[in-house]
Amino acid sequence: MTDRQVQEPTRLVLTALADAPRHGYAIIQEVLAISEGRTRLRTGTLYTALDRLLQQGLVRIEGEQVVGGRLRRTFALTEQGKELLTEETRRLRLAVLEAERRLGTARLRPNGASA
Amino acid sequence: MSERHTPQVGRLLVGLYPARYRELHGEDIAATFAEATEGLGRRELLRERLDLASHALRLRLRIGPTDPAGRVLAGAAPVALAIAVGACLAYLLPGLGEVADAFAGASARPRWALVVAGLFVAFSAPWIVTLLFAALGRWRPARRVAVLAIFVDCALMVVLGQTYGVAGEALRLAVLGALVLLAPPDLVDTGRRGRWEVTAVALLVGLPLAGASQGAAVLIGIPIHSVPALAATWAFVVAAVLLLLHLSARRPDRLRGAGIALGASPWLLQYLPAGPLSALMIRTGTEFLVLVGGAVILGGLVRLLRRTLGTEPAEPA
Repeated sequence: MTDRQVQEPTRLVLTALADAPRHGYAIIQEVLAISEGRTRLRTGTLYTALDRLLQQGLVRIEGEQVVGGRLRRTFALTEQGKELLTEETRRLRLAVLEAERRLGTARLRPNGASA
Repeated sequence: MSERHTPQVGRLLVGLYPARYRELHGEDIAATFAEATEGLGRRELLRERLDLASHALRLRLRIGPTDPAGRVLAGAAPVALAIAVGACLAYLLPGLGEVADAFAGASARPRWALVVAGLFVAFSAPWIVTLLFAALGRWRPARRVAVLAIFVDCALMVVLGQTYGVAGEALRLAVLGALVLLAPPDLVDTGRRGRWEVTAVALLVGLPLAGASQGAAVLIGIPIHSVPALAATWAFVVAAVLLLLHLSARRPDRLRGAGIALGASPWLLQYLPAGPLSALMIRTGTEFLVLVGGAVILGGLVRLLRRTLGTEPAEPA
C-alpha cells in the first residue's frame, strides 16, 4: 500500500500504536503529544480512522479489559501496519533530508553570489 | 460498564449507531467519548458531539469510509467542488470587467461601484478560498468554506431577486452541498494527485469558459456565461476526460470513477425543475450519458489493448 500517501491523522494513529497497543482515549492522548498539541482527534474521527484501518488489516483488536468500570478495547498494529508505517517513515525521511540539503546549500551560498 | 460513567448525551449519541455496530463497539466508543469530553468547554463539547453523531449517521446511511457508497462519495465531492469553483472562475473575468466599468463611472454613482465590487467579492471570494484549501490538501476547511460559498450563492439569488432558473440552481447547489458534506473527509484524496486533480479540473472548467465568454462578448455581443447549458456541457467534457484518465490507469479504482461521474451530476440536475422530459433536460442528460459512457468504453478499451500487448498483468482472481 504505497501507491497512496498516508494522510496525517492516519499516520498519527499508526505512530501512536507503533510502540505499544493502546485503547481509544490513550490514542487520542498520544496523537496530541506526538503532534505537539496541534492535532486533537475527536472520538468520531478516531473511530472512523480505526474502522478503516481495521478493515485494511493495518490495525487489529488486541484485547478488552474493564478498568474503573469502563470497557477498554486495545488496538495494536499488524505486521502490514508496521510495514506501511516503516515505508511512510522512509518516504518522509527522504523528503526531510532533501529539504535540509537544499536549505544548507542556500545558507552556504555567499551574499551576492550568482546561482 | 457502569452507567454512572457515561454521560447521558454520550449514551444518546451512541444510540444513533446501527444496532450491530453498537453491539460490537458501542461500549468502547462510549468509554472513550466519556474520557475525551471530561473537562471540555461548551464549544469543544459541541464539536465532539457533532463529530460522534456524524460518525454514527455515516454508518447508519452506509456512507462510511469502509462502505462502497462512501468511496464513491469521496471520489465525487472533490470533482463536484472543483467544477463549482471552475464555474465561479468562468464568471470572474466578466465580473472583473463589470467591476471595472462600475468604478470607471464611480464619480457619477460611487455607491453603485461599491455595491458591485462587494457583490463580486462576496460571490467569488469563498470559492477561491475553497480552491486554495483544496489545492493545499486541507479538505476539512475547504469543505467548510464551500458550504459557506453555497449559502452565499443562495443568499445572493434572493437578494438580487433572481427569478429565472432559481429552482434548478438551488437544486444544483443543494446536491453539491450534500456531496461535499456526506463524503467521508478522511477518504478524500488529499495527496499530490488529488490536489493536482482538484486544481486542474477547476482551472480547466473555468479558464476556457471565461475566455470563450469574453470572446463571444466581443464578437457577438452576448457573453457565453449567460448560457448555463454551455457551462454544464463543458463541465461534463472535463469530468469525462478525468474519468477516462482514471479508468485507463493500470489499477483503476472503479468506485472512485463512479464518483467522478457523480461529481459532475449536479449540473445535470439544474434542469430537472423544467421537467424530466423537457428539451433542456433531455439534451443535457444525453450529453452527460454520451460523454461519461464514452469515457467508460474508451478507458476499458485502453486497458484491454494494454493487456493484449502484454504491458499490463491480468487482474488477479
